[in-house]
Amino acid sequence: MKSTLSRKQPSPFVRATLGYFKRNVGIMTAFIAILLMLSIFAPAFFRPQNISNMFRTLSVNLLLAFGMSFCLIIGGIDLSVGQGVAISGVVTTLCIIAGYDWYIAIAFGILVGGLIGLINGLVIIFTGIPPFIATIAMQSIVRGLAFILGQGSSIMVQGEDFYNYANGNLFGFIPIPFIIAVAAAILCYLLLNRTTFGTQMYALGGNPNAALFSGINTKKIQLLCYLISGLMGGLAGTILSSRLMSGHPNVAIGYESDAIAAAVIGGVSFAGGRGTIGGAILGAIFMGVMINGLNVWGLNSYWQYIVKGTVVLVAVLIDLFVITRRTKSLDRVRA
Amino acid sequence: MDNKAFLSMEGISKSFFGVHVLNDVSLSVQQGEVHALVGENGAGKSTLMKILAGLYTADEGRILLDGSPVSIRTPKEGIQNGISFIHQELSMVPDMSIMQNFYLGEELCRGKVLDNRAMWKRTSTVLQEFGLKLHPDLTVDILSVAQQQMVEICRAISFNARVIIMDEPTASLSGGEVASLFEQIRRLKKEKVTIIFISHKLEELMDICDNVTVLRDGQLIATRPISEITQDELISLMVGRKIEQMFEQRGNSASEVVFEARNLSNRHLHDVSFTLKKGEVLGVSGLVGAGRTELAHAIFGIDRLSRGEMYLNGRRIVHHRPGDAIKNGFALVPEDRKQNGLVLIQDVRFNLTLCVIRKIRSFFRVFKKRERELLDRYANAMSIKMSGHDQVCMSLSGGNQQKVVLSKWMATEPAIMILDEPTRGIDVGAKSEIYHIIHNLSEAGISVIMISSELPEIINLSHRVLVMHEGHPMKIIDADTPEFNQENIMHYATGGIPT
Amino acid sequence: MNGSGKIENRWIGFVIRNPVVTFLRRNRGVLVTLLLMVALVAYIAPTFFTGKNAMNVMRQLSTNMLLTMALTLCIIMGSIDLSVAATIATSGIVMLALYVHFSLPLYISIIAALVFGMVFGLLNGIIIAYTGLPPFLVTLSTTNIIRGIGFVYTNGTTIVANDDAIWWIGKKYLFGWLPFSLVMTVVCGILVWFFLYKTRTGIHVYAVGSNEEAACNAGINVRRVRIIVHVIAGVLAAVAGILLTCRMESATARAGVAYEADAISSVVLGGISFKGGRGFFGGAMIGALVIAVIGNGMNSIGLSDNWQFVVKGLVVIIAVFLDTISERLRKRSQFEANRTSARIGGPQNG
Repeated sequence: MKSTLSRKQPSPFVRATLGYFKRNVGIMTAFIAILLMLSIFAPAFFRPQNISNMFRTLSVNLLLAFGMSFCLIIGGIDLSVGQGVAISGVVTTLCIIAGYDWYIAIAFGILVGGLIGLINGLVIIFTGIPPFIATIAMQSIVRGLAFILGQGSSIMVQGEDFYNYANGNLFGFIPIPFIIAVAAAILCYLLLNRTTFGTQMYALGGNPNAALFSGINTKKIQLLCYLISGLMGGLAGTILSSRLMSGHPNVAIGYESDAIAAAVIGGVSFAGGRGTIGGAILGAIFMGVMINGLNVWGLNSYWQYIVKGTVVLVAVLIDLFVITRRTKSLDRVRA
Repeated sequence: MDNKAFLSMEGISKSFFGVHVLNDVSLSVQQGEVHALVGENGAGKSTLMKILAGLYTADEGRILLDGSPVSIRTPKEGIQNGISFIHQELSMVPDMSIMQNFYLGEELCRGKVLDNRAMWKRTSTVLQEFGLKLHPDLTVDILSVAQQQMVEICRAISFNARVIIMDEPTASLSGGEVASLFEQIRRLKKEKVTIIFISHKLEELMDICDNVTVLRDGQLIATRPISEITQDELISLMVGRKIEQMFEQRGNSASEVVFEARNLSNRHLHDVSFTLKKGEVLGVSGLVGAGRTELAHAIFGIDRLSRGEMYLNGRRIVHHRPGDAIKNGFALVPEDRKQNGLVLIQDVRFNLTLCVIRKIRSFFRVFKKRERELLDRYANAMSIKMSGHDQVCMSLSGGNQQKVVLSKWMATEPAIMILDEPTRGIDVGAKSEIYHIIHNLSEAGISVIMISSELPEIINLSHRVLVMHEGHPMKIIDADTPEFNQENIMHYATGGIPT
Repeated sequence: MNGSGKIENRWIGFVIRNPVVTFLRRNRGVLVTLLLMVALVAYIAPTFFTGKNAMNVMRQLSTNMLLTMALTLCIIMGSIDLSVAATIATSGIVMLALYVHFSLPLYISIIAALVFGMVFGLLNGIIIAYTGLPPFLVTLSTTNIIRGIGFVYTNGTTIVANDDAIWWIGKKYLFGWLPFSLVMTVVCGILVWFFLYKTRTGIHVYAVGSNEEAACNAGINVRRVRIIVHVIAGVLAAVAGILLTCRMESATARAGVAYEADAISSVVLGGISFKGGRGFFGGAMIGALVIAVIGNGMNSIGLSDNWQFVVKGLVVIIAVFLDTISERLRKRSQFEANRTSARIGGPQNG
């Protein structure tokens, strides 16, 4: 009995876009609904200044969402990114105070993030501790170190160049951090979809045993993913500290939950082996729009928590019922 | 014969997600009967029995016990009606003790408080009655499969099961353990317990069962007394057509040695040595626990070797990890394709190209054309039945999944392929296709190390067979010699003295 | 009675029937860690052992212990509840809102707080049981919702209550040395222990965590077990919230931030596996003691909170690492030795 040959496909670009929409139907619908509501109730949202600001703030979340997606896809998780952002900010500002050029300081900040990611990866690979526990422990350690380094108080810095890093615009209206985030998105997309590394990541997340038996170097893949997550955290930290023009150990609390929420809303599966960068982008933008929109609308900022929590739940529930039609998969606790 | 049936399932229909799995199936079984249920994978045997046990509910139809209709909509109701299901993948809680598993769901209490003492005593008694030398407080995860199965049977009986369903009970048992199991079944018969026996191993059914029912594609095809039907007839009924010769004439292998193993040893292996010739099929036979899979893992670089060397075309090789083995031209089709062979949530395209991904993705470019060629080539060569390259592997049948795994490895163009139980859990039709593939591999000059528990496979496909016993290589028998027969292989597999 | 292999019958009987020995044997890992910590602290800071400090420790212990109990149940079942910390804050707010703002009697306020915990535990449980969504994600969302409710009601402010009754619950030392809050905690602990090891549903918690499918096949109502565990977790968190609020004599939505991390650390130190189905209650309680010792001990030296973070993190990594290794060794020796002589037990009176 012959198998069916591959069918004639429409143009790959059209197919890709359609596929993207089909995969993220739940979020897309909710997204459009929110935009509609905002146009009615809070038209100030659509002012260019607001949009620009929103994307500027969003950049940090986007970067973290990318890093988190990498970890989630291989079936792991990185709960230490929030603290990574904080310590990176502290390191960056300390470097500036110490007299380094602004771009050297930023490089150090990124490196610190990468170092943390590297340690996470090494601990997970060589001790066999579940990523959940390892990164929670690391979160604690980094938090302590951040406070010790920063000696508990804000480190204020000055400098036009450093200011422009996060607060400047390209062509007058595109926030620079957003450009960085877009560049990171492209890089991550290429890594996931155009390299053997990406395929191996999906295999590792989908079935670690099968990946091993297929000759994939699982240790290397894990190490790289945690490294990337750490680098993303470091990069985000430099942006945040530039935005605030100060480094403080107590920032970015809860950012890892936001990153997880963004990734999961965007279709990245907790169990591993599934998810796309496009989805993560959508998830992060969705969350950003929601929070910003509510602010503009005038909602008491304390309501944000409730809204955030509910929206994530609802979004995931919707996605669950759409996906369950196709494949029966129950995700278990991430550990 | 007009005896009133003890157990009767009438007009059972069931579909999952719009796919009909069972279509108006009616089954009737006498009390104290051992009734065999056979059919290819996907024929609906497990589903039918799970409906009986309350794990699924039928869309249509009803169940009668002892003449009266019963409602079995949950596992609990199944248990309450005296129906016990012994799963193929044993359904025990690994971290709990035998006693706790025994009483799982039906714990004895004094008021609201667990009565551990009473449970302990009763468990102990029952284990003794069955001649099992096991302590009730041992955790279940250290028991062997056979022991776990015995415990499940004890449990069924001590809870006064009237119907015991056994799903592929002998899949992981050695010859001696199977005999033990059959003894218990005969005992149960005497006590008027009805047994429904699902199995692929037709020779065993001939031995122990009274009647057999054949299912195919969700329909009941026939019910016959075992004495009135032959194995071949059964196979025809299962498959729906005449199966021609399953095996083809074995070709001749070349005489040059491509691979040599010397004194391979580790925790599971003891001084295993053998040679492998080009284009040869070397069968590896032995009981469960003989170390065959461990041998495959050691050669492929998954397990470490504490001693011993391997030589490829005369050159010494060492495999620290599977990647090394693959570079040297080895391939391993693992025993458990779902656990170790495939990424089930991904599609055929992903899985098939997984090992040769470097040929398709390079420097940020994806070579779609190469990918398509590869897929088409193997999909055709292997006759993989699928709806398209983007069909998710989870929804393929066992046979087709195995073909995807085989294709995946053949795409790496190996010189040596290790196949671990290549036809496990695969229906008769697909089996013959895989035998054909193995034959072709051999003809093409690829050497095959074939681990198998099915002696007909070993006898018909191998040029030589290595018989193992508890990690020791017992004997290598050449197909051209008179010693090459099932009895002899069994003799060595059970530890007989090599001559 | 048939023994097998190398087991001697009498030895088994002794091990099973003597709870003290069983306890020591089972939790030897974390007990060693505790002793090491105490020794370390004793060496570095002798002030740790003053009576006053000990009483302080005991009083502060209650919050973490209650959370640890809650998480132990969840994790053994193969689930988790990250919203317990948020419940601490908001249940406290509920209590003081009713007591201070609405002038309701204290006992009603307390009951209301407990009900609050129960309701959100129920919510968590129902969503997790009926949708199969990852508990991590679900409770992450409910954390936001619960804490959000607290924030919205208080608008970021703190509710203060200076009151004899409140003081009594939060700070009273019975007989001059025994904190009332600790007594409450111990009572809760006993109840939870009883639930886990002496009732059917409790033992089913282990079954569901170890092999959910087998539990289902055996007729256990898995959903019911899941919901019950999350409800209990919610109630325990509410108790912790009540005790904390009384001790602080105020309720704020920022209370209890990151408390779940300490609780998770305690559970992990106690040898409870995230895969579910394994681990003993006693171990987790000892784990909570270790965390308390680290925290308080370091305070005694005058070491800032920050170093505590670092040390706690390291301790968790080392402890889990050792646990993983010992598990691997156990599996290996099990294979070598006579198959039936290794692990005796299953969940019993941990």
